[in-house]
Amino acid sequence: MTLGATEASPPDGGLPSEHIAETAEAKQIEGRSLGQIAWARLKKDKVALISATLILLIIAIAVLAPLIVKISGFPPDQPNFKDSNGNDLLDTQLGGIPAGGLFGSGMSSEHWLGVEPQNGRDVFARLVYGARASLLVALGGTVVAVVLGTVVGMVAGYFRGWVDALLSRVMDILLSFPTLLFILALTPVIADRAQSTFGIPDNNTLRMGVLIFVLGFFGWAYLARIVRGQTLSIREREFIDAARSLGAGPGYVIFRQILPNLIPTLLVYATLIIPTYITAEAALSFLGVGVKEPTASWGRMISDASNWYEGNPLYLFFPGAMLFITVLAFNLLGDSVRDALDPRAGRS
Amino acid sequence: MTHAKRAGSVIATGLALTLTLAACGGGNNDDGAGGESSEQGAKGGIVTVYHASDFEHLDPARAFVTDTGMAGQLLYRTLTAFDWDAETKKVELVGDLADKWEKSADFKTWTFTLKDNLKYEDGSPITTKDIKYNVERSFSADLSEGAPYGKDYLDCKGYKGPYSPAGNNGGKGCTAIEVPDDKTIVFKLNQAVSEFDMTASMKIFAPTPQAKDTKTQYDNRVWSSGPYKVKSYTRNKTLVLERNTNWDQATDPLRTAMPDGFEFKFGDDEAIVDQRLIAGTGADANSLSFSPVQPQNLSKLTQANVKDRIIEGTDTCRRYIAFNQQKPLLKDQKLREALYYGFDKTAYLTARGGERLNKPVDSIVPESLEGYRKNPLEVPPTGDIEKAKAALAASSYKGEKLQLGASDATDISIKAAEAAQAAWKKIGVNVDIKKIPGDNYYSTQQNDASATDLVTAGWCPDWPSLSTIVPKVLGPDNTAPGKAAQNNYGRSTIGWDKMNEIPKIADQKEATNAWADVLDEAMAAYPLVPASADNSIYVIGGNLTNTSANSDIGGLPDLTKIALKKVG
Repeated sequence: MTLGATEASPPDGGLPSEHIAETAEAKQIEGRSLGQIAWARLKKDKVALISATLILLIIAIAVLAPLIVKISGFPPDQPNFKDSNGNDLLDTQLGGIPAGGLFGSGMSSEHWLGVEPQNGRDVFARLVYGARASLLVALGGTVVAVVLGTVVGMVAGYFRGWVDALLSRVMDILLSFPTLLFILALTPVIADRAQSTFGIPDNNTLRMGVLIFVLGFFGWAYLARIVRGQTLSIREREFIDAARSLGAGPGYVIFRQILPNLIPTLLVYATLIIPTYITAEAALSFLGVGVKEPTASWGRMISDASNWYEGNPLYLFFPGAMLFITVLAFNLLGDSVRDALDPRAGRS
Repeated sequence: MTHAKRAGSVIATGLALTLTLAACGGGNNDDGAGGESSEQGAKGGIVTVYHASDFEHLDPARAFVTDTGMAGQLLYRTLTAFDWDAETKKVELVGDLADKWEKSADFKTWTFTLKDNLKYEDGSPITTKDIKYNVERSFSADLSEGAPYGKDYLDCKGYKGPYSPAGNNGGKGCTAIEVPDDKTIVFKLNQAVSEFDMTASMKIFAPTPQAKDTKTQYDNRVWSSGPYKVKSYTRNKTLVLERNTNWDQATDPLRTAMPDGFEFKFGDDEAIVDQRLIAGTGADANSLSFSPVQPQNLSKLTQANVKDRIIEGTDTCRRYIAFNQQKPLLKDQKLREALYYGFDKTAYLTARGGERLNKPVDSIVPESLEGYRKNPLEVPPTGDIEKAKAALAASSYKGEKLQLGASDATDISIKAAEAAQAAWKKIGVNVDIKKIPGDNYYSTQQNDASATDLVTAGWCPDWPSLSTIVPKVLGPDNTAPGKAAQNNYGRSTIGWDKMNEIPKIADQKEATNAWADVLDEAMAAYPLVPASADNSIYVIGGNLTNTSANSDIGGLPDLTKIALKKVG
C-alpha cells in the first residue's frame, strides 16, 4: 500500500485540501497522505475485509496447491478407479459416472469432493490446481493491460496533438473489436503459428502466454482512455508547470510526476479487470481454446461437467462455485478500493 | 459367388465413427438389436442424420472411412456390395452394378458384367468405362485417401492416375483394366486374389463419368448412380440428398430407398443431439445420429419413451494407438516397448464410456476372424508398470514431449487421450495432446509432415481376411520404396518383404497362417498398442423403422433399408 504520491492529489484531480479537511479527523494535526487515508477507510470496510481475506485464501490455495494435494492424497492428473477398499469408484456400466456419493458425485472420506466421471480424477485436487490457471492468466493479463494502457494513455495525454489523435484512433479501433470472438479465433492461430513458424512447442506455457497476451492486448484500450483523460487534466496543474520550468524532460514528468497521481485510478481499474479476466479465462477454457489437457482449469471442469449435470450436479457446482466466489470477491474488493480512494463516488 | 461373410468398411474411427465402433464380429453379438422393427414403413419423407463432423471425402475414389462407407451407399453403387441383414446380423456379397462375374483358375483375371438398365442421375447409362475411370482416379497422388486395393492388386505398375502431369498413359489408362464393351470390365491382377469379388465392393469400384470429374472438388458434388443425388452440400453444415428418379429398384438388391431424401447435419454438439433424440419430439422423430449415445446418457436408456428406440451393435473394427516411427524418438524400440506396457487399457476404456460401450482387445485382428491369435505378449489390462519402466530406463528417452493426436470432433476421444496421457505420465513419459479437427483427422495423420508422434487410430477389415488388416495397418505402400501404407500410422517397416510374398501363396489356410506369423513378427517390435472395440448404442427417432446398427460398416445405423413409419 504505497500510495505516497509526491503531490497529494485525489484520483480525479479534484481539490486536495478540501478532501483532506473533510475526512481527516480534526485532532490529528500531522498531514496524512491519500494512501494512509484510503487505507484507514478500507480497514473499516467489512466487505473489503471479507473479500480481501477470501482473495488471499484463494491465492494461498493456488500457491500452496502441491502441498494441499499432498494432504488430500490425490494428485490432480491421476486417474482413480478403486478406493482403498478395492471398490469401484466409477460405474463402467453407466458410462463411467461415479458410483455412489452424494448426488452421484463419488464424494467420500478419501475423495472429498468426489471424482471426475470417465477419467476418475480427484475433483478437489483439480479444483485446487484450477485456481492456479485462473489466477495466473487473470493476473498476467491484467499486468499486460495495465502497463500497456498506462503507458499509451499517458503518452497520448501528455503529448496531445497528432500523437494523441493517432493513439486515440488505435484505442477506438481496439474498443470496437468484438473481443471475445477475436480471442476465440486468434488463440489457436497464434499457438499454431508459434509452433510452425518459430518452433515453439505448443505446450501449456505457450498457451498461458498466449492467453495472457491476448487478454492484455484487447484489454488495454479502455484503461488507456481513462488514463489519457486524467493525464490531460493533471498536465495542466501547477506542479507540472513548476517541474517543467525547472527543466524536467517529458520522461521525468510522465513517470515521476504524472504516474504517481494515476496510481489510485490504476488500482481501482486493476482490481476490476482481474475478475473479468478470470471469467474470460474460464470462458475460453470452456470453449476449448484455453490451457491444454490435462492441466486443471475451472472453465474446462465446467465444460466437462455440463455433460454430466443430470447425473452428477455437484461436479458442475464445485468449479462454478469457486469461480463465482473468486469473481465476486475481486469485484467487491474493487468497489471498496474505489470507495476508499474516492468517497464521493461511492456508496453512502 | 455369394459368400455370406462379414466384412467391414474401412478405417473408421476418428470421426464420426469416432466414438463408436464396436467389437467383435462373429457369433457372440446376439445382444444388441433391441427395438429393431421390421415393419415395412411408408414411402416418402426425409430422414435427418446428425453427424459430429463433415465427411472427409465423399468422392468414391477417396471414401475410405466408415461414415462415407454408409453415406456412399445412398449415392453410388459399386460392382459388388455387402448386403446387411439386420435379422441374422450377417452380410451377404451381392452384385450391385455387376450382374455376374467370373474368375480365371489362377485368380488373376476377373471379369464382371453389368446389369441392364443402369442409369446415372441424368438418365444416361452407366458404363464399365466409368468404373475403369474411377479406379484409375484412385491411383492419383491427389486422391490417395481411398481404398488402396487398385494400386495394390492391379497389374499396371508405375501408373499414376489419369491426370497430368503424369498423363493417362497415352490415353490407355491402367492397362490392367480392360473394357471390351460398355457392360464388361476385366481386371488383371499382379497376384492371386481369391476374394477379388469382395474387393470389388470397395468404393473405388463405383462409376465416375470423366465428364463430371472435378478432381479434388469431386467431394462436393459426386455424380449419382445410387437412389439419391446431391441436392445441396454446404461443407461442415448440411448435405441434402434427394431422390434420383433414374435409379431403378428392380436392379438393386441392396437398397429400399423408402424416404424421399436424407439430410445430414454436421457439427451439432453431441450432447445436444443426444438430448433431442432422447426427447424424440417433433422433427426429431425422423432423426438419428451417426454418433452413439454419450456415456452420460446411458442411464436414460431405460426410460419408457426411450427403451424401444434403441439399436445396438458391435463391429469388427479395432481401435489402437500407433507409435509413429518416422519420429526420431520413436525409432527407439525400447521407448515403444515402454509405451506398449505402460498403456492402461482399463483407464482408456473407462474414459471412452466404460464396459457398456467398449471392450478391451489384445490384437488388431477381431477374435472371430480366422487367423486371430491370442497376443503372445501378456499384459494386464491396467498395463505392466514394471516392464514399462525397465524398458524406458533402457531407452534413450530423456523426458521429451510426445504428441498424441486425437480427433476433436467428440469429447470422448479427448477424454480417452487424457487417460492415455495420464497412464504414460505414470511411467515417466510426457505426452501432449494435439487436437485435430474431425473432418480432417485421417488426412492429417496420413501426411508425413503433419502426423503426430502417437496416433489414435482404428481399423475395420474390408472383408473377412487378414489380408485386409495386416498389410494395411503395418505394411508398405508399394508405389514408392520405403513408403508406408496410407493407414500404417506407425510407419512400421517390419516384415514388408514377407507381406509382399504372401499374396503368392495359393492355399488360403497357409496364407492366413503366414499373415498371422508376420503380424506376430511386426508386433514384437511394438509398432502400436491395441486398445478397444466399440459397442455402439444409438437412440433413433420414434417414426423410423427398419433400423439397425450395421456391423459391416463400423456399427453405424444402416441407411440402406431405413424408412419412415408414417409420412405426413
